[in-house]
Amino acid sequence: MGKWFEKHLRSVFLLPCIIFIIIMIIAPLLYNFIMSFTDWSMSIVKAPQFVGLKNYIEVFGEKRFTNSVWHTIVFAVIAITLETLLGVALAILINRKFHGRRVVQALMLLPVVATPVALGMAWKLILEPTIGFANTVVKFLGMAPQKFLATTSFESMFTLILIDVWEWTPMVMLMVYAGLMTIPQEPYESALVDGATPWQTLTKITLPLASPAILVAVLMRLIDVVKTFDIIYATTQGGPDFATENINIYGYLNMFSYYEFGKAAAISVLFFIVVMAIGCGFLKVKSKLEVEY
Amino acid sequence: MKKALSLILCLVMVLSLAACAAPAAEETTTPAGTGETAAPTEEAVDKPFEGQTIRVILASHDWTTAIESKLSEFTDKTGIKLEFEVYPEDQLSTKLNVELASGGTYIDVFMCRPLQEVQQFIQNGYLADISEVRADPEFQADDFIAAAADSYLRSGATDGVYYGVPLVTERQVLFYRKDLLEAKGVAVPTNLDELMSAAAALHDPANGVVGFVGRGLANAAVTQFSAYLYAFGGDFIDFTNNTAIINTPEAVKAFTYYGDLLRNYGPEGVLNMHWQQAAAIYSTGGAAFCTDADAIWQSFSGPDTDVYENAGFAVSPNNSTWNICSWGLAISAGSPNKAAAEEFMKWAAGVEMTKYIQTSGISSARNSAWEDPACTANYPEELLAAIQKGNEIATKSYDRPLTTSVSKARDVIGTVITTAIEGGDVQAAADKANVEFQAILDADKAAAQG
Repeated sequence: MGKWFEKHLRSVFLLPCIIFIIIMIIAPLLYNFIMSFTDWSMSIVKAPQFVGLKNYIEVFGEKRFTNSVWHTIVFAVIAITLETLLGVALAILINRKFHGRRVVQALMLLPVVATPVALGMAWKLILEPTIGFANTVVKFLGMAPQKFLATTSFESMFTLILIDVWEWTPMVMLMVYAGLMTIPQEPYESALVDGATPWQTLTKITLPLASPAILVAVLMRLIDVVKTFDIIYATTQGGPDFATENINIYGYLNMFSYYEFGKAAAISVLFFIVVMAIGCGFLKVKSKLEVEY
Repeated sequence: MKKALSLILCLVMVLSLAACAAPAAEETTTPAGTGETAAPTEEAVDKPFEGQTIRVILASHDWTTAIESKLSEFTDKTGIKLEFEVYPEDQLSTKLNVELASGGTYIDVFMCRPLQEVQQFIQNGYLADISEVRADPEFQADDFIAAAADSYLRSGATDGVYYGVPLVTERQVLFYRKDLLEAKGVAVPTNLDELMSAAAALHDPANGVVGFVGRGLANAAVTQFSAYLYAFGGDFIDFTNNTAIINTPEAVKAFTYYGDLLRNYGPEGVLNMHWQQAAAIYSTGGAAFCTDADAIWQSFSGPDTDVYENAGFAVSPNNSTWNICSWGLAISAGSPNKAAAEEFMKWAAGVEMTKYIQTSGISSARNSAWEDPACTANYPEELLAAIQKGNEIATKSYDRPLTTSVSKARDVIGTVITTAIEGGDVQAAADKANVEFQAILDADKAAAQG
């Protein structure tokens, strides 16, 4: 027994983790995949009916689904672009020594550690067009009041993107900052000797050497952003007129408001494939772009 | 450093697990659903349910607040311990779906909305037949307002099986500001034309007062819009042939009217407004008129609001109000403690408790509570008159489409409301929505038959 244990030590230690993954991740995924071929209203007296690809065909034929995909893409592209640009800039800034740096770091992390739904509720109140704080400030500055989240135009989506940027840029900053700290001093000393300008130092040394960290941050945000739920649910629930409905919200509504388990499962499967594809694609890109020094 | 980090991580994990495992129960000693029974003693003869625990899930509602302080009396009286949880209505609905779909064996009694989810719950087999509760003469089931009680029957069925009991009823009322009307010499509107011109006369956004505030958030607005739809002679469904009729001339007029009212004389950002946002504006003096359910009058112009002194109430313009049952109690079909759960239902929806709760201003579903002056003493005089008139004249017992997929139907109808508020092509939006709504009705009919 003792010898067997020693021989299979690695497997034995891995076993709890593998069992956990099977029960908590693989089994639900498989169940969800099977349910996506059924029609079920969550009834306990009527079993799920096998309907083949009906749910997938229905989902692809719905304008609300294609709109939600488009909203997810737009949200992800704009939010990640802004978060990366601001996050990298802030990381470079915070990497410099200045008085009160640690306090600034801690303060900037506050949105990340706060509960997203609570933040959503707070933003909803702040952005309420008639009695909210935001328009009070806007009016005080002599500008026309904004509708923020209460419009079917792109303004509501853009407002949500800005909330996401406010909340998650510090996370990108932190990850890039961790990457910047690993860059050795030698390349900078050589650049200084060679008379490189600050811009050259930034573009030729800092950014290339920090690129693995930046890419990891972007990948993590990308997966997170396409899954955004809490902020949208707490503020607009996908409205007005589905203007801020992303795939996640659309799937949720199908499941818990419309009792269409099969269709919601089909949406989840499609969503899973998209997220996996993004993840795998990005890892491939990352391995190609990684810089050795 | 590493050790400290490990320690912190461990601590975080342990705390997270502890947080996940922490029961939400307020008072319990045994796990829900176990139905553990104490050994028979002399006391057990008086309290046959002594030692049993039932899990009760309630909505975050004034009714819940009113009964909360009385729960210990129930335990003292019956010996039944309560595991008691409260959730906002959307979270409650989600929680009930998940738990009931998995058999509902860990849930005994819960609040649910007859017009929103009950038909789906009945169809899904979630709800227990409560005939035994109604059969108890002490419970006085005949005392319930008939339309409210009947909202717990299976739609279209003639078996007479009730799946729950009504708790709260609502009518739409017109809230208005007496001081503003008096200042401009405007009479209380009795029809929709008068409401539009009165809202126009009192619309003064430069001084922080809009003419009218109401729900504009598509799905949420449907219930309040319905009174306008009825006022124009429209409806959601032609029940004679299960046909969607939200694009008829009457319906289009109603959508256009509601949209015009909110767009021209409503606040900014009305498209994202549920009743909470509308109440926030009205209760702080930001609007002259509002229409919403009487059950939430305290949020609009109750004693804690800025407008209480000048709060006026009237029946909906054109007398188009509905009289609905907004909340009731049901028992899970999978409950292992049905007898104890029925005991709770009898107590919570009984005559005595209903009268007690109505005394604190929550409109009940029992005739005896409305007939007892002591139970209505805390209502403002005008509000009580509007409610009593509503009880008398209301011909509709629904404020949303009467079908199984209510939420989906509301989302579809809500798109027309949004178009109307934005000043778009209402007829085109109504035509498109009518096709989608008809598809929902057809699917619901097929599901009910199959």
